[in-house]
Amino acid sequence: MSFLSIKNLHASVGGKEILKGIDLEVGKGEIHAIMGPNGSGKSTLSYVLSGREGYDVTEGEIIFKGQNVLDMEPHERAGAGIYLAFQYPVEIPGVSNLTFLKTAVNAVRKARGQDELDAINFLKFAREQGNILEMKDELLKRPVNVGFSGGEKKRNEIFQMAMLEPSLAILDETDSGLDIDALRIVSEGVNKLRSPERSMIVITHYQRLLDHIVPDFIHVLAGGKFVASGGKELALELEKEGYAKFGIDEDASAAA
Amino acid sequence: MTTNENTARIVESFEQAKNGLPGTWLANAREGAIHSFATAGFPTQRLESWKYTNLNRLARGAFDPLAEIATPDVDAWSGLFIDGCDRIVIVNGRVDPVHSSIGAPSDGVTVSALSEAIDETDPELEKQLAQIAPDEGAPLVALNTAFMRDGLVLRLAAGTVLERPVQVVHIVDSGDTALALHPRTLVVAGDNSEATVVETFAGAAGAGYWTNAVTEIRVGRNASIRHLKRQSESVGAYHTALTQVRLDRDARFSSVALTVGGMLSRNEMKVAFEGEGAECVLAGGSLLRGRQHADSTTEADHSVPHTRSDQVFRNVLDGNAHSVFQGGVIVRKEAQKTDSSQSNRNLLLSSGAQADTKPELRIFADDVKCAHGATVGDLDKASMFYLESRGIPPEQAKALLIQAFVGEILEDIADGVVRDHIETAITDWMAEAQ
Repeated sequence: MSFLSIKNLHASVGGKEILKGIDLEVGKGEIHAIMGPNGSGKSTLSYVLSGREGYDVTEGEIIFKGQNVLDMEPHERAGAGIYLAFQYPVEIPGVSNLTFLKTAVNAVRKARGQDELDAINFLKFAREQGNILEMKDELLKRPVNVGFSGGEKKRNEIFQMAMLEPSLAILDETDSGLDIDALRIVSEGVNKLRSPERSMIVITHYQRLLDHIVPDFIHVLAGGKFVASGGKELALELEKEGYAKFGIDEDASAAA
Repeated sequence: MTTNENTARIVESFEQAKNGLPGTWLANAREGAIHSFATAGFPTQRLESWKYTNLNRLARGAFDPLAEIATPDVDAWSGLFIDGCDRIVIVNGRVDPVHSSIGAPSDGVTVSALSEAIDETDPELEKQLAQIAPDEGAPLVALNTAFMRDGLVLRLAAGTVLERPVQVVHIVDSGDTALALHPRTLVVAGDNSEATVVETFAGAAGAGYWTNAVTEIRVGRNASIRHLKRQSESVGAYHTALTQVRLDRDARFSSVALTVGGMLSRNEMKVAFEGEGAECVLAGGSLLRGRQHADSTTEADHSVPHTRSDQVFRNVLDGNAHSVFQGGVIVRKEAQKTDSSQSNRNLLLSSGAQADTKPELRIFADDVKCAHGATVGDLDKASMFYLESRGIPPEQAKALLIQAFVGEILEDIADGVVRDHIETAITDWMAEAQ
């Protein structure tokens, strides 16, 4: 049984087809990078995997650990071990990061048949994981993402990932908008979370991230389909020759 | 019964009742008040300030202001009692000495039931009661003056700081008798004094009833009063209330009023700035469902320079519920350097819910700052998805967002037990949805 298997996936947003037949096999513990120009469907793929409303699958299937993902609600997918680090994390005024995380952690623990954490053990766990990402205590007490800098928001996404212990993490352009220091902290955090039990799909526009988080496989997405797949050397080719090598006119696809 | 016939019936019942009402020194004031009510009648929607709230059914209702009901099981309501505070419990309009509890007396602090306070000769009380909130132009206040029997009197001498909160709990459980209740609270805070006052209203479904409350608060120089109100009346009840506050120089007043009960309610808050440097924060909101209607009407009346008022109101509406916010600010010609703000946000959880919001700013001075804003919207989809994507089930995600939305009005409540008292009303409301 494969870990994650995506077959002939077609998806539309507002009646417009964005994904036009995606096939992807991700083994346990593997890291796959998906690269592509703007508008190629990268974020759509991440939302389809996590079950966002308005992203309609018209054909194909997604099987994760033997379960049909498309039959599951977003919170059930999280419980099953799927985690999406958002490209644009959402601000939620009035809900403290800690309250939010405690609710989330205990919800996924419950879904996985684990005991819920009491306040003391939760706080201990949050401190440990927070240290890895150099999260200031103050950020834990503040409302979710409110008043966070761009880097703090992305760090918070990886912190939540550490807390929710997913078996499949999707990182949607986690590197965009980060300066080099923030990129280093975030990717070190991600690397610490690498494990033979945890697979990752790293979505990025830039090759730069893949210097820090080295993938096992790279796929190039354009016009809603993979146009190339290979090992990490593919990123270097892209870096040197750009997407044009794959017959992609970046400006045209961005406008599409 | 028509509205006019009912008004005549109410006047008639006053004639029967007047000799049995406490405080002989109030007799003239009561006579004047019932006359003023009889002349004006119930407010109608023709009045701009009652535009969104229709009292027709209330005005025709045969509520009994006199009936004395045997004391019900008050212990069933003890969850409403805030631990460690001085407490007056009013059951079916009359003080319940068994459940009321006043701690060790502190110098300069008087906490008493209104019925007891007005039965004594007290020239100070005569100068304050029914003087802070005048009857003129306010028929429901006049009606309360005519019939008022019980409630809370809190007086603080200059310089006294009351650490523990004072709570007045109104409980209605009157079986088949539809009662009219006219409770009155009087708070007089001397210069440099401080206190927290909590008003709690609750009742059993029974025959339905009408609470018509008046709260008068005078805050002396540099004194500070924190006021909280939890309206958890039976959903079959009517609740009309006016809180009138007068602020002397450098006085501070803050209020948080939460409405979850009542079929139809009107909570009116009026603050008169009478001394420079005074400040007030009026916060409030409602959580409503079914066919509930709740009207919050405010008036911050700035008549002297250098004063500040902030108003923060949040409503959460489900079913066919209807909320009204009429936010009044008056800045008179002399009131230069007034700083006032107003924000009303409404969260609609169903397509049948309705929110009316109307800022009403009347500004006659030219060097002032007056901000206002209002929004009406539904639950934010992006926030819902974010929470759900972290494993939180939709119902729980919704509850978190509602709590966060309405929680803004609780932010400044420093006292933990008082805050819990208000928060419980919110969590109870959400639990009822499940």
